[in-house]
Amino acid sequence: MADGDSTLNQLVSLLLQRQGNPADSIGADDRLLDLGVDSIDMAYLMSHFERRYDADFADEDFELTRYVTVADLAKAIDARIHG
Amino acid sequence: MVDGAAALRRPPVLDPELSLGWDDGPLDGLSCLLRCVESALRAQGLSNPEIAQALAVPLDLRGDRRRSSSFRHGHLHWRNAVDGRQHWAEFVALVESGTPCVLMPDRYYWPGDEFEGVKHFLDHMVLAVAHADGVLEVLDTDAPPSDGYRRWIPVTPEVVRGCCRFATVHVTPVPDDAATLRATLLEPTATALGEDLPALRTIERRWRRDGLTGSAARALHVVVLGAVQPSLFLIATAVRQTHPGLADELLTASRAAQRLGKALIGAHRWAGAQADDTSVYDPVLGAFTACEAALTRLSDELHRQLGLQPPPAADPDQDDDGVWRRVVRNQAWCYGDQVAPARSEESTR
Repeated sequence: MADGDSTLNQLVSLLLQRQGNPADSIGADDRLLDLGVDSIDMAYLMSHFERRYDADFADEDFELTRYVTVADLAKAIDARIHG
Repeated sequence: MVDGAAALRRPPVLDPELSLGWDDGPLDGLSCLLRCVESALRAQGLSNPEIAQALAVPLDLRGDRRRSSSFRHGHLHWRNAVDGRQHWAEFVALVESGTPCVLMPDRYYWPGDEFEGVKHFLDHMVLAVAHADGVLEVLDTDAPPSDGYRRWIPVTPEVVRGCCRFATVHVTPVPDDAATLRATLLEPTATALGEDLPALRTIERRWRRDGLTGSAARALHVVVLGAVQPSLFLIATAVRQTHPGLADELLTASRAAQRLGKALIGAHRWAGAQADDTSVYDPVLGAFTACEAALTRLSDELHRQLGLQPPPAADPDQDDDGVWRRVVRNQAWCYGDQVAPARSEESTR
């Protein structure tokens, strides 16, 4: 995972690495609920980006209900880590 | 005495509408164990404030200041065995007579569990509420909501073998006021937290230096979600009316602990077969330091608002393994290596 990767690409790569991931490929428009993403996955995903970019996410950033698709989540993460 | 053998006023249930702090999921606020106890106490007629004040205990990060099965107003009576057959008759007799029993099954033998047939692992608890016609009915925070968080477990020799740890609930509600809550919950929490914070810094140094393996990470998540976070949440709930400012601080720290626990569980999903690859757990270190910071703020506020002498400054270079030793103890408790395989011809009754 190169530093130059977009947040979306990094997020997709992470989701594909998760054990039990139901999809062979994941796209920006895939729905998080269809991928089986839950609040526990969210906690790990956000921790990953927080630590990698020394970012600080707010409590509401962890709320799964704020995001529908993979792209929604990537956009929110991107806003936090790149200001 | 409201105890495990007391007549129930209503059947035990797991219900988000009735439960303490159940927002996004059953483990908001309470652990699987405490959800079971909460359900048993509510079935016996206790209100939510009575439940919180009965179950709340002072925060104890080291976990060696009190018996782990004791509450402020009661205790659990555990029966532990390597082999569930040793107490199966007592267990089913209690359940059939209407006494709900907290059950900590060996997940190696638990039908449908991710560890079934793979690893002896004991970290999850359910509430056994009925047994009839060879089927055990349990309330389980991990069961589908559409089933009312219930599972119906066909009793096999393996299931009997796996029912190796169970407990009955024994609670005597005692009226509390601001003075008793301060003396028995808040002041002991402030004192213990002041003593234990240096031990968190030692874990952080150890984690940065050596990384965290999968088994240690699992033991840590059991400590965080099974003890630390529920303790913070229950103290907050118990003192909400008498000390609202501190209740807010306690809840903030509780949320930080919950985020850490969830991130650790999430990391297990990414670890998969590479459970001892410490790099999988590296991203969670940030959640640990955030939790550490929240607990430091809580300690400062407890001492300030209660007018207590601040804890003495610790030597930043001195290691304190007090909390890490608890993690190591939990590894031994959760991995039951002494469990032998069941045979298909074994009796279940």
